[in-house]
Amino acid sequence: MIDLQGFGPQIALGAWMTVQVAFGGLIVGLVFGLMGAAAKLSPYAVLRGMGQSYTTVVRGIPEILVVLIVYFGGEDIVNRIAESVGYNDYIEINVFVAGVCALGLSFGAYATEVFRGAIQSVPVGQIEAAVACGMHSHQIYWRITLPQAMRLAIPGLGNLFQVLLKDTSLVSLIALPELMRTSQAAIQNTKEPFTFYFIAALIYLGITTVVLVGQIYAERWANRGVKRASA
Amino acid sequence: MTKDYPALEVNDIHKYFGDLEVLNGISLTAHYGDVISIIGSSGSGKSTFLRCLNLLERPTKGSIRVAGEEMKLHREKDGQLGAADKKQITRLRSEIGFVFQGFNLWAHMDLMENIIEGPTQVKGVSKKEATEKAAELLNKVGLYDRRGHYPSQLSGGQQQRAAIARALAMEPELLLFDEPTSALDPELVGEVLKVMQILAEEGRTMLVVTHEMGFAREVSSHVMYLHQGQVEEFGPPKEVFENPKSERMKQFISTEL
Repeated sequence: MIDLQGFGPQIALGAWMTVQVAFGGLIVGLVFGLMGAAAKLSPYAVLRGMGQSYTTVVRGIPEILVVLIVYFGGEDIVNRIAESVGYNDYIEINVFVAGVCALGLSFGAYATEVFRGAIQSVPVGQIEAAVACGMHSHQIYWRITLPQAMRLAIPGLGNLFQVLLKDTSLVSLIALPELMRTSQAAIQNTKEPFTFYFIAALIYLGITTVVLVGQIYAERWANRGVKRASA
Repeated sequence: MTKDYPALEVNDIHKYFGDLEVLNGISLTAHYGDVISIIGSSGSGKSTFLRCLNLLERPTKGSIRVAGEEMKLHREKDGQLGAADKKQITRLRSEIGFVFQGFNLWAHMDLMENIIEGPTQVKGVSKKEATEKAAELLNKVGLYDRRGHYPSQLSGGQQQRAAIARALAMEPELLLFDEPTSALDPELVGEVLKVMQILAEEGRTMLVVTHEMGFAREVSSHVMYLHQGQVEEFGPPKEVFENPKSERMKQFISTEL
């Protein structure tokens, strides 16, 4: 058995933090992605422009910079705003919040494209049937378009979530004690890089595998009502 | 059904796609209980006309009254007439049942969910009440035992019957059918026409765009023959089929029968 030299609990906590950051980023990212897609498909040019700028900018810079900019830039902005309204104590941004926002922002930019494609792939007849029975546009979006688009979006979103899970390691740079950071702390103390990097790799692999299985169930659920070749 | 206004009054509908005039001034009055078959060769504008009635397609000119109420229209940037009052148009649409050529049952819902969706979401009917009503309607179209099936698990004929039940669930003032049997295998056409015949006999107001001359002749109270976006012939089926006034109608009958 591998000797963790007492770092087991810390690494377990790090892994748990990684899972929390990943799911936090996923939730924030899905919201950004839905808003981005809605903006890009909007009849209003201003909204389309905003959506386009968002995806162009965020997808065009390295994730690691997004993390750093959100954390340091975010803190700066918050303090300037606080100062301008007469609040002079220094405000520190919670590292977890900054990490989740940064990862969500980045996930959302890619998810925007996944949602946009999926929404456009919903057959027009499905929408027309909803229009014809008198549904309002927001009812149509939430009850008809989105559930059907979800089915088409899940494979793409699952793929992005795998990437997001591994990108959580970037958050170690802003000192959030997630799996990468706790592993490095262990290495500094024990001088056994291979052991702890290997363990970290196994844990990442374990998490991504669980997520993959979850994705299979999600796809099965979303595909209810769709004829499969084997059915 | 005695009401002092017609179920539908359409006045001088025009529709342009760019420079192409697809509808060239169509007027029609449907009284309660009328079953009007709209026939014509493809490209005559019959589906476009039907889709203009609930604004799935926006007309370029004209006016529409549903159950005595004028549909509020205004000219939009691209020159077509759109709904001027969003609340009104959704309400009027809920009073007009529409049955599509391609069924368009919602793929992510089973039959029961498909049928209660409109009543619960649009009309605010309780789920319990909507489900009871839906059970009745599914029985009527012979699909009660398939209520838990998804559309993809059913034949085209079954899907279309379910789509008719979905339209009926809204208790509409009138029903529009856009080539309801054209996407069906020939052996499935009969079961759908049979349901439509039952509805006609119940005295429902129906406009049916169709290629089924048997239905037009036997079931409908009036036949409207469209040619190049204009009403070429209108009247009771007996007159229109046995004594057509226009040469084109004569030709059309000889090719269709």
